[in-house]
Amino acid sequence: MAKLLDKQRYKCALGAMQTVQAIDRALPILHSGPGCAQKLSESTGSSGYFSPNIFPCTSINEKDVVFGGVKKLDSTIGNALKVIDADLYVVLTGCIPEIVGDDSGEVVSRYEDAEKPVVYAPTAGFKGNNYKGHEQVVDAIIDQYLKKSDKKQKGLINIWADVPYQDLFWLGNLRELEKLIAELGLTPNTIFGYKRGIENINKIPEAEFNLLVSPWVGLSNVKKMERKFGTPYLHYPNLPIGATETSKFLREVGKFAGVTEEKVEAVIKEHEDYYYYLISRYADLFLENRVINKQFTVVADAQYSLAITKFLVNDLGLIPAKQFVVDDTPKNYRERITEEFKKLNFGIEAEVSFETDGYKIHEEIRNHDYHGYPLVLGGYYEKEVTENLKGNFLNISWPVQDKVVFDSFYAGYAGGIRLIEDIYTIAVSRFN
Amino acid sequence: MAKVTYSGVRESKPGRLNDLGSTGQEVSENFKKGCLKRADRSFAQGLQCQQINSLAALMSLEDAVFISHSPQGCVGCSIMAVDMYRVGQIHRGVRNVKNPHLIVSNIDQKSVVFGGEKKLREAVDKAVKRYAPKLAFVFASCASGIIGDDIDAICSDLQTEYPDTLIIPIHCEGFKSKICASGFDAAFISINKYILKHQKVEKEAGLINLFAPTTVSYADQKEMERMLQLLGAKVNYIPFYSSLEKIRKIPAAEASTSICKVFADEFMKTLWEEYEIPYSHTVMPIGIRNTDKWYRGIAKVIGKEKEVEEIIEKEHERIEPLVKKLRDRLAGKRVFICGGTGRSFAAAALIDDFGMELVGLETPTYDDDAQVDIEYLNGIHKEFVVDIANMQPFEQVNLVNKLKPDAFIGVPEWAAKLGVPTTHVLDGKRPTMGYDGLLFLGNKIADQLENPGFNMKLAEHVKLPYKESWYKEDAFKYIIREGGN
Repeated sequence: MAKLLDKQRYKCALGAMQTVQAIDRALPILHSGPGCAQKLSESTGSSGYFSPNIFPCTSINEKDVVFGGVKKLDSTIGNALKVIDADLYVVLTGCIPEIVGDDSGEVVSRYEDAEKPVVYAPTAGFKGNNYKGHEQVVDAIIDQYLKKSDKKQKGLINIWADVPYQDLFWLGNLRELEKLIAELGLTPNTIFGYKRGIENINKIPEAEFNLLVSPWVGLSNVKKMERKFGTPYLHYPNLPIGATETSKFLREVGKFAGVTEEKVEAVIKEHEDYYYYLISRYADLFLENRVINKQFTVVADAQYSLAITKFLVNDLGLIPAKQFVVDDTPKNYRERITEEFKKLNFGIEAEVSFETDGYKIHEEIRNHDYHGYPLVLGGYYEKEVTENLKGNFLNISWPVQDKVVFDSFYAGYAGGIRLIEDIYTIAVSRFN
Repeated sequence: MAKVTYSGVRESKPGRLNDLGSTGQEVSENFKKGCLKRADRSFAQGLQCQQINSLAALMSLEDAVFISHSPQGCVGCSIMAVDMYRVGQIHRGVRNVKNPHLIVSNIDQKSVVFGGEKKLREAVDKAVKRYAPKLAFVFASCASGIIGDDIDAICSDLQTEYPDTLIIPIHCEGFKSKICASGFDAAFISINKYILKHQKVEKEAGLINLFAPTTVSYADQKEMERMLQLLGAKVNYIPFYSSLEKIRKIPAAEASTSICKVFADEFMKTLWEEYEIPYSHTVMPIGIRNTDKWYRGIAKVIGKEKEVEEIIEKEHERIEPLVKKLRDRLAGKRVFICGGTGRSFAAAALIDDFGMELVGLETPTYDDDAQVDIEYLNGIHKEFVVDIANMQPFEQVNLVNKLKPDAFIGVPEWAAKLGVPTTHVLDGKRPTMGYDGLLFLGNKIADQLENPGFNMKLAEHVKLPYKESWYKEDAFKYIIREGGN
């Protein structure tokens, strides 16, 4: 696990309460110290049906530390079932119960016959970050709630992408991926966001295959589903942004799903035509009016660092300076991700650094020659360093303060256009 | 008898409790009779962690680094503090807006088994080398406390290694208190122990310590400073947007006061006991009555009773016609209030300026201080519900749904979904306090009442997440005596 964190980029495993929150009508129940929910929430976009102040919590005190908090956990779960109207209750444990040794799993097992499903994920903060916590929540649903299905639904595809809320664009991205998959004549199934929820969770074992669109997050989940339900998976390691990458994505998914080439190419052609209709109208902006500097850096999780690098190089013709992956990617995935950064058009390769220490990242940005003012896409912490360098800054990764996103997205063809809009809105609003 | 050192845990004070459902009359009588007993909730929703308050109290100090000796989630919401700090700098005209230096030692599984000392040393080491700060604060966490890291000893050892940085441990382990204001006390205890060190310094004539938490806007700071300057005082505004030098000046002051009731109240007692600095602890200066009371309190301490009356008279002349206009718009409206200890009672007093009627009050703690406010409110409002709760939205919506107030003041999210017009009172970016803040706040409430459209539409389209049966239950059903703490 990462050493010290200077300018932190993620939360702890208990932050997976947001993964639960993203499932319609699923309620996290926290067995943790007082205030963990509040510390792990976002300042905007978190006042939906269930919000962090609504999550039941045992708020462990000194006495519970000494004598154990299982009794309190039991009453909290039991009463949550009585008071709060949810479809799925997910008990999450924080640091304290796991240090003092509460048998939370045993308490949860008392609710096997409850009217609504209650599952449990151990998410102690000292064990991992919220990327890992996200996988643990999905694992808990697979292991404790879902059962193997004999019925398979032709063309039904479960889509998995990165971590809700940690990923600012999670909702819009998922919807856009669904749309693209549907255009291939397939039936997408996702569990996060509006009107997905428990009914879609129930369909998971019936899918023809799992489509994982992420460099690494969720790979252990789809492997687990392969073992448990016999569902094959396609691991597509790059969130497609813009024309080049989205067309590649559609071809690969189409091939895996057995969609005819004509069908796939027809979908691609229609999108690319419209995409280049828009691009050509604004080519004057790129070529003459606001020629932004060619060199850029992305400071984000593996997903965005890779996806945006590919987009800016392959579609916009920019040159990658060093890229930073800040999600504490497990070591066994790093080599494959590094290889992906080398697969860019015209033999261009991007250097990537897996780094969680923001101070070092800022030192490198300061010391790099961007041949002019840099374009930096990153977390809010990069605003200060980019401003000092008089560069263009776009807040695309956590932490986010500079941007309000309801259901906007960067995935797909339309997402690429959104990202260009965002970058050039900044460029034109500044005198450069 | 040996003097008992205050631990910083607000529950350690006898007679203070966190879990209670009652009414204004009942709670006041029971308190007088000594019949209030501590309780607990067998079902509760998330609270606020005191570590956040410790961090927030100090986050805007110059030349400082903040080290959270914790796993990686404990400063998960730091972006909110970063935002507050940046907005605060912009309001104060700072051109090169900075981020606070925030470092997490990142306690992991190994640390849980073998201790986190190495991680903490590395974090302090890097913090000092990278930022050469004058102050390095080390914040304890639940995990560091339970695994038994001796942060005092480690910091003291590191202090000899880094003589140019004051290394200050703060004991704000979350599980120790359900009252997040304990985190303020923990910060002040450490300021006294490691910076002031019980040393007396030369007095500065006319200097007043004005303690203010992060949630006080710059507009409010200016209003408080203006009022104190009218009394001829020089203001040492701390610890928000201040510095080591200004903290060192604390013992040089002739008097102290605070903007918030639960901020530096214990510390001001310590300043009296150890440095003989008199202080005024009254109310939060929101609304005419409370602003007068707050103003008179500090004026008395510095011997300006006559002067303050003259100023108050002038301010009233200026403000009352404007308040009357607001009263015409707001009189008779029934209000439910939910807020922190300081703001909830202050808001309850404020609504009297506007002729509004209190029907419910939700506040995190009850103690002798609260009793004074409740007795005052009982004299104005005949019957109102008291919910001693830190948020607990399930109890709140149960009560609001039954009481059907015309307006809601405080944390707005849930009442808004019931269609009640809401006004947010914890506004760290805009005016709330003093004579001018009163007008801003009053207009905000009146405007909201005139156009309740947003909340009504919201209520038409969204449902709160509670079962219908819950609204029929007693709101205080889950407050139990057994296991009270």
